[in-house]
Amino acid sequence: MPQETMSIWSLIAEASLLVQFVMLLLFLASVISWVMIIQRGLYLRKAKALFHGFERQFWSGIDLNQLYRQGNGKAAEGAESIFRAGFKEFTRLRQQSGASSEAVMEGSQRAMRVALTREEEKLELHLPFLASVASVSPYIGLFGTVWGIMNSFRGLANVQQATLATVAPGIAEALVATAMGLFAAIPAVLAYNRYSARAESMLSYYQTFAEEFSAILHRQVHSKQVSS
Amino acid sequence: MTLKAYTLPLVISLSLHALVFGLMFANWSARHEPREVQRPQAIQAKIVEFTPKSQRQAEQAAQQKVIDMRQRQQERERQEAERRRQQQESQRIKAQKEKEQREREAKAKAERERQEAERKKQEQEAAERRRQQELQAEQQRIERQQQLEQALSEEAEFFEAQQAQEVAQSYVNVIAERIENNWSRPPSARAGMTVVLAIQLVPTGQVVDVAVVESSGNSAFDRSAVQAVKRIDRFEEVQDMPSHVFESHFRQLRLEFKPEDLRL
Repeated sequence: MPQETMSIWSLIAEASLLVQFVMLLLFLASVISWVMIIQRGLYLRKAKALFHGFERQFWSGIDLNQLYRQGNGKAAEGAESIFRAGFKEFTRLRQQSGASSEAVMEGSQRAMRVALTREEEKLELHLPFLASVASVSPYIGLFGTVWGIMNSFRGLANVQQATLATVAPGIAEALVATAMGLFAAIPAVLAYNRYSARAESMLSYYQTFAEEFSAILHRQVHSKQVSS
Repeated sequence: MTLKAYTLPLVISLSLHALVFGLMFANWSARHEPREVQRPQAIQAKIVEFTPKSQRQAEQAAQQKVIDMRQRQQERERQEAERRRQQQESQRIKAQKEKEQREREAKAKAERERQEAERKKQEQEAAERRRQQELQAEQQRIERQQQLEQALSEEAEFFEAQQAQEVAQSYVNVIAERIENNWSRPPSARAGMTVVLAIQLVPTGQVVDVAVVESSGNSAFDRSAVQAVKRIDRFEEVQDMPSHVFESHFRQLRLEFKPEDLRL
């Protein structure tokens, strides 16, 4: 029987053009979403390591000026960029005579907020793509399946004796599309949930750090005012 | 910098997909390898007897034909050899005759006038004889051809009969399998029991009548076999068999039922 030698290749190759297009789309979605998943995973891991490293350095009692100068050459990432934005604004405002302590604090806090927003953007990059692959690809796969089954039933209408063997190949062929949709969607859902939670926790670390740093700056401004 | 950040994920993702697809295809094709399912053969169905007696005779005749054919071939070879010998002989005779003629001519040189009439007569005679020989050879040839044709047609008939029997056996197997699937044997059935049923069919495959021809000695067992045939009621497979096969084997079908998968 020819059906017994039916391989998945022949199923894909004999599908109708639209179903093949749907399969191609889903395959591409799967490949791209895996690229995103791996890239995000690597990025988030690196961000966490960097944050912990910087925090340790920050609380080691090092002079803030020295810490600022250390990072001069390279591009700042994560908490360090927040620190640099805030500290740069702080020193600039301090150097201008006549700026009140409230203005200095407000300026540095605003600069840190901007840096924080940038970091948030970086953390949540590509997550919307994963979310849309996760929610849409089962539907696309289902569409391909419904179309394929429609076609196979239409072919069935022209056959006088309808047996299982006449419909089964068409249905199997159509179901490949659903399988591919699920294949693309499941990792995307998992990755989206996991990475959005991790991005959130990273963001809260950054926010805590920004608060702590502004507390230090606040203390410094007021102690200077009292001494002067 | 951004592109560089994506090359490694891209490579990993592509190789992952290739791996997954490879595994899937390998499994898929392995699962589709034709497996021989060993099913217990509960019924050994054979055509016990082709109902019309003439059929059996025909079968015997066919077997004889096989032997006959071989004999005929040998005979043909022998005839061929004989023919060749005859040809040689006739050639030899001709040569001798010519020689005689030459001698006669030599004699005629001496007494040509007197023997001329006689020589003419002899010549005519020889020509006559030659013509008769040719005629005979022609007749032999025609006869041989006829024999060959007859043998060929007999051979074709024999093959046809054989083919019909093969077809019949394949249908019998299908029918036996269906009966087997519908046969629920009573607990009193034992291995070694044999019941022979006569089934009457019409060309639509409808079972007209079922009767026990040789009982197994266990009436429950006999009844269960009859029930199995009645439950099927129609053998649709019979519909698409050639009508001459149906007429010769299936209008009156005899099947032997013998459960072989039972332990007891």
